[in-house]
Amino acid sequence: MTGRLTLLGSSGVLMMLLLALIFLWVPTDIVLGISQRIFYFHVPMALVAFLAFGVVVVGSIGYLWKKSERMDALAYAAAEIGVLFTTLMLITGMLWAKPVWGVWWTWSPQLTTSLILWFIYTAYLMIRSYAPQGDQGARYGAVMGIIGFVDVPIVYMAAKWWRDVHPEAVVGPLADEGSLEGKMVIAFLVGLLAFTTLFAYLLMERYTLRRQESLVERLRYSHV
Amino acid sequence: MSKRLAALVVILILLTPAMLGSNHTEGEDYLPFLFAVFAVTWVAFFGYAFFMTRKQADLKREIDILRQSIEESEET
Repeated sequence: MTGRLTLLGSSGVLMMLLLALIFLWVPTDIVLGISQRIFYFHVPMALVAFLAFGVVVVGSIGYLWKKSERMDALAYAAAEIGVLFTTLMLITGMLWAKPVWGVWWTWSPQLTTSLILWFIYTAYLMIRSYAPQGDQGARYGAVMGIIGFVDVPIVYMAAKWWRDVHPEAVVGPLADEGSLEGKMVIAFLVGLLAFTTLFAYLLMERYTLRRQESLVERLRYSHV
Repeated sequence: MSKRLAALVVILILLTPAMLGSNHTEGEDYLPFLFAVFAVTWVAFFGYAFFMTRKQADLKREIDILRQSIEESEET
């Protein structure tokens, strides 16, 4: 419990620091102007969504391999939070696209593959809701969770592989050196840390809740 | 009610730096979009926390019902 509160507290402090850095410290982008500040929320949330789907893969493989309910609960919790982060990534992206491109949405490769990612893991959650309870539903979900992850590197590489209105990656292995100014990198890293700690906190809470749900479900069926 | 008020206060606190910062930036036409990004993000996270709290309360209620039902069946 103390660990969770520490995570929540750290996340809160980092968020406040991030807001202070965004509005009081980082320079305004010459080309994109003030709208570039959306970057410090949009990109970390996208990367944390990818991390969440990575956890889904680990949990799904763990479930298929060991038949561990804990791993299944971990995969489910990560998928739900991953969908939340992907939804926010898409919405913040649209709110950035409107002032910069003049449209809320365009069917560019990176945006389309991101939307497909959202559909894949929303479908995962729907399968878990509507498939039979117990092993069968968990197995369907695990297979979907693993196959769905194929889209994650495609989203990341899309702007590099195809002609795209969306800018290429400015962080990570594909980024050109010096594509971000020093202060911007620091603010971005603080943002990434803030959203990662928030993700870790939410994951722990949702994982515990999922375990309790399974327990109640089992009790209900054994009693009936 | 007090929880909603607390949530609103937290949202306002989180948006304060944005309001302060608006004096130092150019391109104020874009500010509503920036505010929208922060508002949507915080509403979504608080909404998700609320959803988890509700789910936790539902589970607790269900556990109580199950316990009562088990006790009753043991008595008979």
